[in-house]
Amino acid sequence: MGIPTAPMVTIAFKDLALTNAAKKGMPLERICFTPHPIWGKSEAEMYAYLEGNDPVRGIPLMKEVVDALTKPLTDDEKKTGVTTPSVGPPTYVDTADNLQKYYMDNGMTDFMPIILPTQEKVDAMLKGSSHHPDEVVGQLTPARGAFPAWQFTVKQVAINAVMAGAEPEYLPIILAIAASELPSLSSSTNSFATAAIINGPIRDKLNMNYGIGAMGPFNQVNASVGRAWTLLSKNLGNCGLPGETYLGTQGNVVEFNNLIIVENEKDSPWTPFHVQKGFKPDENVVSVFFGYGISQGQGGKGSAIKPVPQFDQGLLYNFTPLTSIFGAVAVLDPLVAKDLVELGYETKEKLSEWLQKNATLTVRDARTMLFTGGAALRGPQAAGLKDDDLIPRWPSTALINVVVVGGQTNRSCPAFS
Amino acid sequence: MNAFFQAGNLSFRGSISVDKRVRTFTNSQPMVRNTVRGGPMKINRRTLLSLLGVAPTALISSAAGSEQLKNKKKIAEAAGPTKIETLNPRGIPPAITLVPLAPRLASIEGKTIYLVSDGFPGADTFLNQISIWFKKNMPSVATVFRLKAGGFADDDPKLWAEIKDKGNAVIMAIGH
Repeated sequence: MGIPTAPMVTIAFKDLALTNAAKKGMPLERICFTPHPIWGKSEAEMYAYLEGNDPVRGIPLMKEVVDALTKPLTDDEKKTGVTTPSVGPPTYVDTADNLQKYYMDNGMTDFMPIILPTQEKVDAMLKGSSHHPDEVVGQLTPARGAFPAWQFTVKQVAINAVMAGAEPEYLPIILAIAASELPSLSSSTNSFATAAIINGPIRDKLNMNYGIGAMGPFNQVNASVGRAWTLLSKNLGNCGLPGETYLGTQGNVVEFNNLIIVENEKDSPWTPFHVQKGFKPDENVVSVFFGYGISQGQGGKGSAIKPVPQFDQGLLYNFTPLTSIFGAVAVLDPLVAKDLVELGYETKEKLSEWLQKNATLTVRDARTMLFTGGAALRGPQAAGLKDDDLIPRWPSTALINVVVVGGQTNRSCPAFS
Repeated sequence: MNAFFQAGNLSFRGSISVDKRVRTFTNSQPMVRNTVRGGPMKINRRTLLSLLGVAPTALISSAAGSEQLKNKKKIAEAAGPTKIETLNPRGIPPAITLVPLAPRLASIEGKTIYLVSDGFPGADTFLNQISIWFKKNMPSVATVFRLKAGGFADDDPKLWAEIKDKGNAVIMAIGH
């Protein structure tokens, strides 16, 4: 821009701001730090921040801001040129125990033991794909636009797949997840989670679990594919460095293995998810999602009504606390799906339409929600709305998806959002 | 290794060590609790091993075997720990192009400073306090508030052009 600028960042983001400025070519950017947080503080408290010191450097904050705009530049601040960051040597040589420790201590694992990626194991893994090892798969970043994106190849995905405990025949699924360029560890302070829906014949070919315990730790394919997502996010996208590229305030247990949802196409009364989206039934498809996590799956209103439980009401109940900053995925056991068909929902689309129409909130609530109500309150439909008017939580049916998974031991219907 | 096993309807609590061939129980008097009847019951080692699926004869053969194992271990230790070569799992970071900072002002007195919010909660209120601070402490400074378009990471060339045309400096606050 060519205009002197003083960026002001709260101390909670110190490492992120400093390292990211360096990665974007401004290692000496004059960042001024305020106490944390800003959001939720009164005007008087914020003014007191300005009258106080920068908590990082211990000097008066507003003097620092004025100096940032007026102090002559040093020679280092005027520097130009290009540097290439290093990610270490191509190989490591040590004992197995020492290598386990090395990978863990250098942020390359999920703090669980890994399968050490020897050349032999990686070569075997690469046989699981027809793609050339050096082919570039895509780019990953902890937050698009905010952090420089790293590039990665088929071979680098294969290395991470080995580490996660995957077998070569799982590699196509892991490559598809990697190619989505959605990291399982975002930089957001919200500790977001990711989910992948798997459809197509590969589910049965690999004996993936879409029955009892489908989303739990009961199947090597489901487990290692999910784990690989987190390892490759760390190693191929520089995600998951606490304070620097990961700010999730509480973390999320889902981030260990992510939600791998293998659709139970066999027991579902509806069209498989990938066919809904325009793919052929015999195509293998991975669909990825991003959100806070998964809601309760039981106890919804209407689920005890006889003879047919009112699972549309139950789903609506489960959808009510969800934020509409993202879309939502209803994750239904086949028993629930069959009950819904009996209630007249012959298609997933019909259920999505009903949920979109009936999952509402008041304008007053939408206005007080952080981010959530924004979409519904924008545009011409918002003109003339009164506080007590009801508006849809989600502005479009396309934001409400339905997938069927589970072993029919219980009527469970959580939602991922 | 401390472990809790369940074998059939019996549970065992004790300390065990495990090697490659057999499990040997180092706890000399394991307590076995019959979970069906509820009362504690003493049991001899032979019965216990059979309940856990280990043949008692394995204990006899383990004595000779352990000598061989010790010898093998000595040889391995003399050769030093085996080293292996593994691959770096990391991707390819982009090259960094150094960007020189924009030339600074001699003073901000009488200048126009744009106060730019990234849209995170609280940034607008905070920037308003900065505006008040300037009015109190440097009244010759004019401030203009602007909300950057798009998400926090999105570019806003239109705003940058406006600032370049009408402003002299920027204070950008990242709320949160």
